[in-house]
This record gives sequence, structure tokens and C-alpha cells, in this order.
Amino acid sequence: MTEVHSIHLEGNLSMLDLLIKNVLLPTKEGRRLTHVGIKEGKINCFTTKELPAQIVEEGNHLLLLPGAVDGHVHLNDPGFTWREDLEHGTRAAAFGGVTTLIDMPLQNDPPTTSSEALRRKAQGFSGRSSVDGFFLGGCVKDNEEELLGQLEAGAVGLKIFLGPVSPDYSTLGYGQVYSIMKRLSGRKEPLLFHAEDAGIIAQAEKNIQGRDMKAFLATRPLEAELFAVDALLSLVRELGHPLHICHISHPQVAQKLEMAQKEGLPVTGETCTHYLTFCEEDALQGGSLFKCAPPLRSVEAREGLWDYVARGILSIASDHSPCRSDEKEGDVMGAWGGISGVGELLQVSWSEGKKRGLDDLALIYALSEKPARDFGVYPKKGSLELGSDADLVLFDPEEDWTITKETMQVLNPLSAFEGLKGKGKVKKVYLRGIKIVDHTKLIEGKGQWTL
Amino acid sequence: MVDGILRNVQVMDQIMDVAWEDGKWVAFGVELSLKAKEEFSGDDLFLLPHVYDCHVHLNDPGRTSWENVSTGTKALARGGVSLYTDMPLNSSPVTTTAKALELKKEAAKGRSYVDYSFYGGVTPQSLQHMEELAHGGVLGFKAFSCPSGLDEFEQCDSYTLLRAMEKAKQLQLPLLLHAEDPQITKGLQDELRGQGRKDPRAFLESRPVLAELLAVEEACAIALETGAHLHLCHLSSAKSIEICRRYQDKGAKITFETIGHYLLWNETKVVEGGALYKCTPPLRSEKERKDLLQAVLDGRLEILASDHSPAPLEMKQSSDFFSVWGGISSLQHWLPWTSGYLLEQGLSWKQLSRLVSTVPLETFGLSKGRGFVLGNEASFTLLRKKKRTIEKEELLYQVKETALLGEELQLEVEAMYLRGKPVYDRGTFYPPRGEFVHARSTD
Repeated sequence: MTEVHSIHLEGNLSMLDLLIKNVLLPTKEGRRLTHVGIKEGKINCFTTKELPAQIVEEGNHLLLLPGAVDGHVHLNDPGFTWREDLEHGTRAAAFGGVTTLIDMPLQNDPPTTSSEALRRKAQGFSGRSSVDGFFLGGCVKDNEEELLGQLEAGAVGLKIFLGPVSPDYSTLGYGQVYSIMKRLSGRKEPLLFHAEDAGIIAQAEKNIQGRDMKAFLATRPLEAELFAVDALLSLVRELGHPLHICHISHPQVAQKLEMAQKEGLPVTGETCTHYLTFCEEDALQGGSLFKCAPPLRSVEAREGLWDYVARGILSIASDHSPCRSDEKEGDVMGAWGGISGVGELLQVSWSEGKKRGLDDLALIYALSEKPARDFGVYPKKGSLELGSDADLVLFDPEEDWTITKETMQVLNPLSAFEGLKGKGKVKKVYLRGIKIVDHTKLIEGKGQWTL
Repeated sequence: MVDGILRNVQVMDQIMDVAWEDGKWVAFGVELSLKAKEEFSGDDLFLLPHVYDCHVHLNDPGRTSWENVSTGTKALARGGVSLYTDMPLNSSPVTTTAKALELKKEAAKGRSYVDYSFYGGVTPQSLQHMEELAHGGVLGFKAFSCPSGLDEFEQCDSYTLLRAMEKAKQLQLPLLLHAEDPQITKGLQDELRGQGRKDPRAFLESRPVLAELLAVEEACAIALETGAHLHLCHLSSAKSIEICRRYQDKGAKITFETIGHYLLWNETKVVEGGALYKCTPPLRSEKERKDLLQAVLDGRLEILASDHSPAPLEMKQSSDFFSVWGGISSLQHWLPWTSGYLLEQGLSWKQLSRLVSTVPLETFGLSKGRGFVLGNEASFTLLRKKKRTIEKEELLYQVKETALLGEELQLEVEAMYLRGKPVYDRGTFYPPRGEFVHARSTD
């Protein structure tokens, strides 16, 4: 090697912006004590040596995690801000250690299904968000001319519903999906699917009795999910367009995805915190708060899903879909479907995952790296690599918590997660190297949304 | 003040500064504000952490005129390898007892330029010695499903393989197999000899891909049944990988490696070049070569080794190609030769690092403390992009001959550091200080 003299003399040693000392870095060989250095918002170094920095903080042997990337949230802003708004939703994310959000195009007025609507939404987000984020565009029945424009504007994917959806959006058939895939041929951004077959659901709805949770569960059979995913995989096999299956509720669906990946098809998928935590018995007991689509499944299905998370097949998202309390009232069939959970994503998934023996790296992969990769924002986001955005969480893996109305930072503190207990708590959060959460204190409005 | 810092070096797909102290990694960063006793420029250099060759034959003690620890490990250091595992043959005695293992440790002690480890051997006569070998620190047990070439190292029939895998499972060590079906190969060889054939092409015909597939299938079935970890040595066909995957999907623990020459060369080398290119399994057709290369490129095969297997020149000279000694000398250039080609074919540095370090280390239980993690051993290899051809004068082997002469290299090994200190650095060798490395289960 060539020896270097003179290039790094004492006076020229450049200073770090921030050095967080004594954190535990998860590695393939367990947790390693290290300092992490940050410069210009990026992870600059990992070292066991002390380096000069403008700010030096003590990490107190807390676990260092990359901020979670929630690949599926409905912030409802603009348009449905009685359910959630940007300030509350992102504050909950920040407290929960979620530093990057991927926001859905629906439950918006106007729905974000054109480049113009995307731009207006992004403008409205400026200066109001506590965390960073990216936008999804949408495919609805009459916007084929707007698809390419949304991707060119910077949407990281386009969302499609195959099952029933709220009135601001539309359900598409497989023929339309075929034509969209043809039209977008060659684009690398995924099409995202709510994959439940509308025909099967419509038929199931004809046969139900009553309007309680039991009836709702009967309208959403597993076959609807299996059938839709099979159909989509057939299209991808022929047309090669990348797709992402949202909120997979059952290991049989995940298995189809894994087989397709082995075949080499460009397909990814996520499950959600609630499918990994709850089951249909919880729904039958708890009622509308547990209503979501696809619905909660059996205990065996829940446990089976964890295997796909542990093996890196599925990422975990929240599918944060909150509402006002009166929208969960009345019978289950008429109640709003959706579970509020952006703030609970990291802590609940971590706690439930640890119960099932997942190691640090598998959880980090499912909560940060995998979703960042699936939406093309890795390694800027979801990563502890040098040069990645310093979106960091200092985490106490031993601290117990209980979710209460007071711990929920969302607009409507109303969730299936209320009352849940677990272990592993977010203590400090840094967004691009700037501290945004310090225990119970929040420094707001530093978030950037990319379009 | 740390001991050493290397600035601006490419590690996997990133350029960074890396620093070490007391032989361990202490910092990774971009323009580290850290001072070191020695600073080096990593401009235009690529760093591979802890390169490991898990398949070599150094023949020491007993056949040291073929190769020995001094010559072989010097060549390894020059070739950028930090750690190797030596096969139980062709040393003499073969390593099928604890006593023979101790002789090997003695032979390597104080003489090895790089860290060393051993496999024990298992034959129908040596099953009862597996346990003592495990206590002696072997990383696994090597068996042959076809004749090994040495009378004192007999092949295993399926009964012996069954018992050996049961024992290996109990000892929590892998069973390594040279997988070629002995009946197919013997039958074909007898038939060809009967026709008066003894040319290189006859040799190729006597060892078809099918022989490998049959032996792989059988060994996989036994691995599934016993729950043992089976490691298949030097696979020469992507079809073998398909078989392994079928059994892996059912839950069998199966790993496998390939060797550089199956990825760069095809059978025409044997026909045109003769004895120096003879190895078993033999070099394959161009289609087989391409399929195997594709498996490496898309991550279906993740372990590369050299299978360095030298022999005296007189054993390579015979008009009867069947009786010519097989084996290719390669370890001095294995890393730059194979890597340069694979990178040219589209492999990433990250993938390469898995192939020659991470995955083999994990497979043989050696990843703890090794690899690119803070606090781990700072053992690494530096490579530079540079074209040149392999010349006879540079060979460090005991027998200064190899089929690789004249091959073009795309990469040059600049230096190999072991625990923060150089073993080889641009033409200079430092005194041998390799250490014995044993399996984790004996810790």
C-alpha cells in the first residue's frame, strides 16, 4: 500500500456534526458497542474511537436502529382531515420511530390520481410534517392518460384496488390492470394492489346473515385474496411489470408470492402489524375497531405469517387507516374499515417479533430495509450504511409499554392496539441527523416529502 | 491514535476509510477524522475482507515434494487469501485419525503465512475416528463417493455415507463429499479401455455429468434423512444445484461450492491442453459452463474455492490419460483470476465478497470474529484493476507448473493483511504468523 503523509494534518481533521456515543449496533454477530458519527445529515462513520464533533451525545448503550419505513399509510390529508391530518399522523410516526412514510393516494380530496393533484398535495405538505415521506399515485377508472405523468412527477408507485373501495376511488378489473401494465411497460415503479377479488366478495355478501363481525368476516374469504393474487401473478408472468401486494393477511398468499419470487418474477409484498398481532377471535370480541380488509384471520395464519417475515419475504407496514370515533359506531358491516397504527408499527412489531424469536437484523430488514428497497428509496432510507440518511432510532429493547389513549399521538386516539402491552421502546429519534424526538419531547416540522 | 488507517478504499459498493488497532477493525467512515501511526492511500484499491479458500490440498506432511505448507501458504498470501482449509489428502498419512491430524498441525505450526484449518477424512475403515477428529478441531469430514486416487483413502459406499452423516450430525459438523457415481465412471472407463481408448476425450466420456447427478441425488437423500449438514465439493454442473434445491426445500441442510476452472474453462482445454487440465469432475461442455456461471451470477451458488491440487510433473506424463494424475494448481491466482472474470461478467463486489468470504465462513462455522464488522479481525485483501498474464517465473508452488500459465488476469493482489499487519505487500513477504483455526463446536 502507498503510505500517505500530510493529507490529514491535525488542523485539517474535519469535524463531525454529531457523535452519538455508546450505542449498540445490531450485526450478524449480535449487538456491538460503537459510536456513530453524523455529518451533513448522513451517517458518516461507525467507530469505537472518540472523534471530534460539534455535538456529542451519550447513547447509554441503547440499541441503534434505522428509522422504520412505513410503506402503507393513509394520512387523509387533504380532504378527510377529520380522520387524520399530516401534523398528527407524522407526529405519531416520529414518536413511534417511523421516519419515512409512503402515503396512499386515496382518502384524499381530490384523490391523488393525476400529476397535478400530486403536486398540489406535495405543496400542501411543505413545512408541516415531522418525518420524511414519498407519495404514491393512483390508477382509477378514467385516468389512463395520467399514469405516466404521476410516475414522472415522482410517485414511487401506483395504487390499484381490485376489491371494494371507498367512494373517492374506484375498483378496477383484471382487463384494466392488463392494459395499465401494457401502457407502463418498462417502468420500474411497482403497481400496488389491494388484492381481494371483487366478484368473490360480491357473491359472499349475498349470502350473509346479520351485520356483525361474523357476517363481515364471511364476506371476505381467503379465496378472494388467493384468487386475486393468482390472477395478478399470471399477468406479471406475461408482462413482467413489477407489482407489490399490499396487506397480505395469510401465509397461503405469502407462499404464492415466494414461489413467484423463486420463479424470478418482480413481485414484493407486505403484511401489517395487525395481522401479525391479532386474529379473528380478537375481531369477534373487539368489534369494529378490529375491522379491516382483508380481515383478521386464524391464529395459525397469524403465526404462519411470521415465518415469512423472519425469512425476509414480507415487509411490515401499518396500513394506518384511522377514523373519527362515530365512524366505528353502529353495526360492523356499516362501520369504517381500517386500523390506526402508524405510531405502533415499530414497537408492536418489534415486541411481537421478539416473542417469536426473530433476531434484530430480521426485524430491521422487515421494518426498514425491505420497504425502502421495495419503493426504490434504499439505501437513502431504511439503512445504517455509510452515506445513508441519518434517520436513527435509539431504542431500549427492555423497557415495557402499554398503549393508551395518552400514548397515541394521532388525531383520533382510537385503535385496536389500545391496551396492548409489550417490550421495547423508542427513546430518541433523529431525522437526517437532527433530533426530532427526545423521550417525550417532539421537535416538529423538519420532515421533507419528495416528489 | 489508531494503528492503521486506509483511506478512500472501495469496500463492496462504497468508498470509505477503514481503521484498525490491535488487529481489529475500530472505525469505518467517510473521511474519518482519526489519526493513525500508519496511513495508507486506498485510491483505486478494492478491499475484500477475510478471503477464505475452503478447499486446498497442501500435502504436508508426506507428499511435500508435491506441495508443502511453506510454498503453498506463501502462494496463498500472494494470492490474497487469509485463511484456508486443507483436505485430508494427499498428505501422508491421510487425515483420518487424531494422530494424523496432530502431525498436520505440527507441520503447519510456525510455517504457515496465513491462518490454517483442517478437514478430517472419513472412509469405511475410519468411522470410529470421527469423534476424535472433531475434538482435534476439524471443520468437517471429507468423503469420496468414487475412488480418491489414493489406496489409503477409500471411497464410501452408501452404507458408510449413512453412518458418517449420522455421526457428523451428532458432532454438529458438515460432511463434505466428492460426488461422482463410481459405477457409472468405472463401467464407462472399462468399456472405453476395452475399445483401446485412453485419450483425453475418452476420459471426459467416462465421467459424464450424470455421474455427478446420481451421486448428488443419493447424498442429498441421506442428508435429508439424517438431518446432517452435507457440503458438496466442486460442483461442475448447474443441474446438481437443481437437485440440491429440491432437497433444501424439503428441509435438508445442503451447501455446495464450485471452482474457478469450471467457470472459466470448458472441455476443449482438456482435449487441446492435456494433462495439466485434468481434474475430477472434469471440465464440462460450453453449455454446462455457461449454466454454472449463470448460477453464480444470480446468487444460486455462493461459495468459490480453488481446489488447488498439485502433483509432480512425472505423474502428469503418460500416454494413458486415464492414469495421469488429476488436479489443477491454482491457489496463487485463484482469487484474482476468477474474480476478475466474474466481475467482467457482471458480478458485483458485494456478491464477490459473499462468494470468497462471507458464505464459506458461515458454512464452516468460522464467521464469528471474521468479516467486515467493527471489533472483528482486520484481515483483508487489497486488489487493483490491472491486466497482465500469469508467468512461470512468479510461481511460488513447490512444483512450478500450472494450467493457468498464460491466462490473463484483470486484477492484481496488492496486499494481504492479517490482523492489521501485512503478510504480503507489493512484492514484500513478511514472516509467517498464521494461526490454527478450529471449528466453533470445539470452543
